[in-house]
Amino acid sequence: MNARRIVLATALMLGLPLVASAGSLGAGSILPDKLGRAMDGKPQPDEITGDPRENFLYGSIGGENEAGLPYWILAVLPRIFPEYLPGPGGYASLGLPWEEGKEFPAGFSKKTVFFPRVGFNCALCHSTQYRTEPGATPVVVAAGGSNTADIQGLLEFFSKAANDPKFNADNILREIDGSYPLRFRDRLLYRFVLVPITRKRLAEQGRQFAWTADRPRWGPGRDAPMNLTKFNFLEMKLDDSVDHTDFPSIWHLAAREQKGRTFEEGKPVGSHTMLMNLDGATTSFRSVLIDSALGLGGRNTPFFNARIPQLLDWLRELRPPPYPLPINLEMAARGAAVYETHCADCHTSGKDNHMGTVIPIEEIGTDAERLDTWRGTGAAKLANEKVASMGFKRTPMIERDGYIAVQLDGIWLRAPYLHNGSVPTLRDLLSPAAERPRAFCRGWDVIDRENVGFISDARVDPRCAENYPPAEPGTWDRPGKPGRSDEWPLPRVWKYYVSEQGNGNGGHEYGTALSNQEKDDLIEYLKTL
Amino acid sequence: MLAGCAAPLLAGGEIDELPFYSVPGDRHFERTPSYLDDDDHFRYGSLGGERGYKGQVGFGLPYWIWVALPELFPEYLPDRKPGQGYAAFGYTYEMDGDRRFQLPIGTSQRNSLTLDRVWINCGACHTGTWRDSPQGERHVVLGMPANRYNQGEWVRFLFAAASDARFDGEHLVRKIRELEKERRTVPQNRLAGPKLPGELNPIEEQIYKRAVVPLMKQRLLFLKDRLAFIHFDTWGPGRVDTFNAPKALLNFPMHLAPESEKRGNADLPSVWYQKGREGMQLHWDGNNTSVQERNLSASFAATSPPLIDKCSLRRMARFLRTLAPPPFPPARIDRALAARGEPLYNAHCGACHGAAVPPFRRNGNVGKLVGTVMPLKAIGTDRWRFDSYTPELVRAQNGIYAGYPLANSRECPDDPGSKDYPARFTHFRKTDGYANSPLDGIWLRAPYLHNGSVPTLRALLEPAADRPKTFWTGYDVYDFDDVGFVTQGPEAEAEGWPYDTSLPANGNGGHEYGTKLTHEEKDALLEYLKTF
Repeated sequence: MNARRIVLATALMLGLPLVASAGSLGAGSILPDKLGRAMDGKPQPDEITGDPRENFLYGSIGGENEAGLPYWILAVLPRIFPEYLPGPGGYASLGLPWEEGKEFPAGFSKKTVFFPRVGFNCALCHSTQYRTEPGATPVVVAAGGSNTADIQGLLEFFSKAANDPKFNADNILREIDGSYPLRFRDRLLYRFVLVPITRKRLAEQGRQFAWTADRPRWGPGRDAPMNLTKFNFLEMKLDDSVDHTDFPSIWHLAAREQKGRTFEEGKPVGSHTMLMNLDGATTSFRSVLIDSALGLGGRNTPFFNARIPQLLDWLRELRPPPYPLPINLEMAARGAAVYETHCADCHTSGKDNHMGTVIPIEEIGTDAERLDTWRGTGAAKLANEKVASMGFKRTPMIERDGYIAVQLDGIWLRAPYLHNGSVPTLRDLLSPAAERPRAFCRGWDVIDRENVGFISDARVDPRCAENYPPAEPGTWDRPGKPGRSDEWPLPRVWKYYVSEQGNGNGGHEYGTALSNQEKDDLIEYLKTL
Repeated sequence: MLAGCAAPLLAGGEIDELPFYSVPGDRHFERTPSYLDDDDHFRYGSLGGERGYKGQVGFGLPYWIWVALPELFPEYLPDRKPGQGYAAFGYTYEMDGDRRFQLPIGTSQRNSLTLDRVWINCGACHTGTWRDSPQGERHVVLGMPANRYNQGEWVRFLFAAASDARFDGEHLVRKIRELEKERRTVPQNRLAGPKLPGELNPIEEQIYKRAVVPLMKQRLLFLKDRLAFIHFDTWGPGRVDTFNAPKALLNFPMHLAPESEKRGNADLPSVWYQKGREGMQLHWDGNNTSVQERNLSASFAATSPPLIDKCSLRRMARFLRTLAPPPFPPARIDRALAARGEPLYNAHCGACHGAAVPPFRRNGNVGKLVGTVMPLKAIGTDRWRFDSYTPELVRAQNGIYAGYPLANSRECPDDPGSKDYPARFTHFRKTDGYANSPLDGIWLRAPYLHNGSVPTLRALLEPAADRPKTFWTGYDVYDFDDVGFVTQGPEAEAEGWPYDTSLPANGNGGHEYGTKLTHEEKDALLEYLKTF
């Protein structure tokens, strides 16, 4: 996935590298130890670093120097620019998973590198949340694919703010004065250094992201991993591809190692070689992680190099949470047999089967935009060269001709389904493409008990019905209708239209011919994974 | 308010060395009266909100503007009568005297950068009164809900005045000169109470005219704009919209919020026996289990993080830890009847509401559920207050007091633990209903339920359909039979505020516990509750 994170890498390049050239040292160079340590800053407190889950959600991956925002600017921006957020709540309005009592949403890491800053980590896109009923407090799950987070909204918030004349030292310091007594030297630092540089960097970032404006919006739970890599990280020429992709779960990586695999495209392969990214563009967890972290500002420093194996070890064994509601075991047992017959060859881990291999696009038939964004563009080669030039040795990225068959652990928490999140529930996925919903709402986190996935239809809001008079496709639809806090916490919806470029919901017609009883049983069984 | 422009001049390069929390008397350029007695401190002690901080003008009205506003703008007062200071808003003036110049309970003074400024403290919302007859003596009770205080109306007055073209240097300074002259003629005994600031000298007059008044106007108009989404006119006496104010503080785009979260009108609570409440789910919806955070959060009406006088706030908090409500007049309790009520209480109320005094949670059934939240579906009371506290606010509030405790934070005298105070909010939670509160001093906490929608305890023991639909609040003559204040009759109507239970956020449904008791049982139960 290289690219996926890179995505963000670029995306969130807000930072203020104190060592200006650190990111672009010559090919193959490793940062001198002392410089690297300086860029790593002061360790975060033990309550974060001492607990692997906390560390994943709020811990640094080393991106603060390159891509961290000065702490107080990040803290007060939502109070100065509420007009650029989709609703009340500051960063909470963007649907970022945010545990009660925590200062920031998951994925924000606060660290002092010369001065306090906030960078971003894997959890920004790889932590998710669910509720068993509307009034419940959301449960935040580390390493799930975030289904509620509007990352494009976050990026746009930063760049719109930076382009607003109100983004100046007077306004920002006045807002900080309402919260905290900065010391004199810190006021000077903010006034003359941090505010102007941050503004410049954020505005620059906004320009780098301008290409997102004339494509369909990502919406909650998605980004554009390959194009972020192409246009932002590699600065390739713009094309008109659309590769909007659901954030994947990254738990239990061990399940993706197909030990004893005897074939992959006809060639024998050992363990540890499952393809990553939804189109199989990488074959190594470590590569994905490095590339993603580069996107978030990580650089070849002692801290970063120590953090990668730590994260990999933890993610390798981390299990998804069990389905939190009752399961009909009798049905599930019957469903297991259906699964064995119809799904296991592509989706069961640890067997000598097709899991983790590329299913050619002609066969799988799902929306090809994501694949065509990468295949044949030469981006893989460029990316490999660039990452090598930053001093990393890693398994290179490649180009493939289809999408990979993935393991289904925690599948109940990975809705909506298919690589572009075009099918809201497992039951819909077991219907022929022609019968799947043409429009539904994303970004809601209450479990759909009947269909498995998140509730996404008129039960959330009349506007989510497929046939509701259309809002403008792809934007937050927010007429400010009454909502009750235990029923609909965000008085707005984000509607997904399969008719938009890259949003097609065709393909993967496996199991669509099963009887209704078989489908019920199979769905019950899938809850147990 | 002058702090913003003048502080750098006065402080020179030492500006960051100013202590951020003042221990009374030790802050340069700043004085606030200190009070020997804790109860006087609760009445008049400053929380620090009067002053400004660098870019922030602060809350405090300069004393002479405070004095001049009701005289210059009587038409915006609820009763349109000048000469009474702020009494029309239910502020309690303790000493008999000239209310134009005296400061009421719940206000504090601080001289910052030579400017005497006045603002409110905890006492404004948590000091109530009662009388046993219209002619009777008014008893002032600290820690009691401010049953007559109409803060919404007061805020509306300040905003109306600030919006008036006559709120300018010319008009105000002319009025101030008149009032200074008049104050000289008032005998000292009619100015009793906290020591009052002196008159303005000619230089100060010019500063008022050119800087203070315009800045104050600007500040009030700014707040008016920020708080515009709050329905101040629907509060009435004894109620405030607690959790919409922080949304304004955090500058949420409230035009995008549903109407359902914009009326969090809630009855002011009592603040006795805080020690016994530690660890309970506090606030009406039980959204926080830390007394300390609850205090800091409540103080936003009166101060803000960089302005807070932490030693002062902690002194008030210490005072409240053991402060007890006054007893119901003993002669008016039928002890034998009350004794019959005790088993009824234990059977029907005790599990949720606990013992009369701390510890509220006792062995066995008593207090098993006190301080925990009852789901909305079960309690069935009006949901507006519940909806006003949104999951988004829970999260955004976590940034309040971020960065604290400050690196140079100091211990307050005789107050261990104050060095690490205040600290970032970490205890706020979205709950699923309303919290079961202890009933200490329940006789003085009328009207009842979180929105004050039921006038007396007797009415609360009736099924919702039989409870009064309209009544008058803010009148403090006591109804010893029904337990609560008198809410009907010509006097109540003359002094009170019409409460209409059919309006949004005023619903009087739910909490139908005990409504099926017999008439005799209800009498006994009410008698027993008088002993709380």
